[in-house]
Amino acid sequence: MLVRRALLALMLGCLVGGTVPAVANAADDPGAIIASLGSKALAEIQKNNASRPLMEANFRTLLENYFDVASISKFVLARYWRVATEPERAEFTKLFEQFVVQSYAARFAQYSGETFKVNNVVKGQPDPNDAIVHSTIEAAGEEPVRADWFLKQAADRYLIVDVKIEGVSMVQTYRSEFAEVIQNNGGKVAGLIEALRKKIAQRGAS
Amino acid sequence: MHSQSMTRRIGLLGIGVAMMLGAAGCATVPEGDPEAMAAYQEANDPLEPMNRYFFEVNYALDELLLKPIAGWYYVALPNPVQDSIRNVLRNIATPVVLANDLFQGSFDRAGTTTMRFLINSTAGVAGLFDVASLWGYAYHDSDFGQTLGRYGVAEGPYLMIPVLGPSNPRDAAGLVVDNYIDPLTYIAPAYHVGYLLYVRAALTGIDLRARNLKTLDEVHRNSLDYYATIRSLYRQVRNDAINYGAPGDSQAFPGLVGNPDGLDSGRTLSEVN
Repeated sequence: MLVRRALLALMLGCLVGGTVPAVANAADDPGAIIASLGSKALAEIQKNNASRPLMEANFRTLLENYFDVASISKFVLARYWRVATEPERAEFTKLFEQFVVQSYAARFAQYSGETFKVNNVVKGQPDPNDAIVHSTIEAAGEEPVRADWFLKQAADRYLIVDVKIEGVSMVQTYRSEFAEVIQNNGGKVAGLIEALRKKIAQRGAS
Repeated sequence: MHSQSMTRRIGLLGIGVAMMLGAAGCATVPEGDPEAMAAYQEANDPLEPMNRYFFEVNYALDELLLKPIAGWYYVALPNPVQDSIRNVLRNIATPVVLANDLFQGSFDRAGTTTMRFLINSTAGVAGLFDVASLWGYAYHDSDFGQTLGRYGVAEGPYLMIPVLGPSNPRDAAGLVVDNYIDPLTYIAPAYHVGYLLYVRAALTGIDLRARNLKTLDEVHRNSLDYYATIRSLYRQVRNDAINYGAPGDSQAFPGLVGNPDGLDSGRTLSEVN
């Protein structure tokens, strides 16, 4: 009975999940990682959204479990990462994470009714450690939203390094914005750090 | 006559754009510092001071006019009604979309556009209901700026056009061409209902704004520099349209499909380190 049910689940998984093999170990299957982010992880943070500090703590855990925050910090600073001092890099990474958590925690805690559908997984391009997961986020009565996830294989698992929603990349958007802030502060990374600190304090108070 | 005044308006707009390109409001070009120079080129916004000025103007107009109207529209009309308004607007815009599908040599997309028009004009009751989507013919937009982009025409410097919003010379020229190839530009005035063109333009704007009320508020609240964020979003959305939504490049995966827009310097992480 149990075996039959397992087989049935496997078959259903293959049908529903498209190219995602249901038997794959979640840690080394990028498609399964995104699917679990869409179902398990979101459900997890939605269970516990009584207060903003709670929502933020939950979202931070999700962010650190699924995203390569250290690499993303480098990508968004781009050329300025090289000119930043060690303490500036550390401070930026810390503030950037806080900034992202503040920006999205409340929104993700309120998600409901949306389903993630993994459509296609491209592995090993352009680098053997890279993977792209094409998914759509669907909700009743809305046009489906395209979400493309860019993952890199770290030591033991895949971590997300960028996500493009309807062609808009999270990394590219932060990168352009942060470059502008640095430019308007005389090319100093310290100016961006100050701006982030202010914004975080301002939002934290509201 | 209405068509003429429309044409003249757009002609004036072109002159205005040309003047903006040649005239004041230029950002100072950073010299000496290679990092600053690279950032300047990446932003591709030599008219930034002027663009920022018009961004503020447009922002004020939005707060005072468009956003409140869109807010009422969103609250007062039931969702199915809003959807039907959008469906009709899309159905009316079919000739422009179809022409651009064909200009782009994309017969697949032209076929989809044609089927959508046939299905939605009949089974969809004059375009009120998007039956075609249910039957597997999903909507896509096409415009002449996108057509130019597909043929490799560069976007040119960023432009914030008063009232119309973010653009660039390529897309602004596309707007003019799309207006010329739209049969409604000629049909409506011929039947003495030229005002319908303005009604359509206003409804299209209100519908689009109403669908982005929350999103734009969120973007504003979550950005350090709203102007720079909108500039980046506009470019990415346009490039996505030109690539037909192929995921393409990520800053995290540089060089995946080349870098046709010259937007970023294509540095890899190892170079950054």
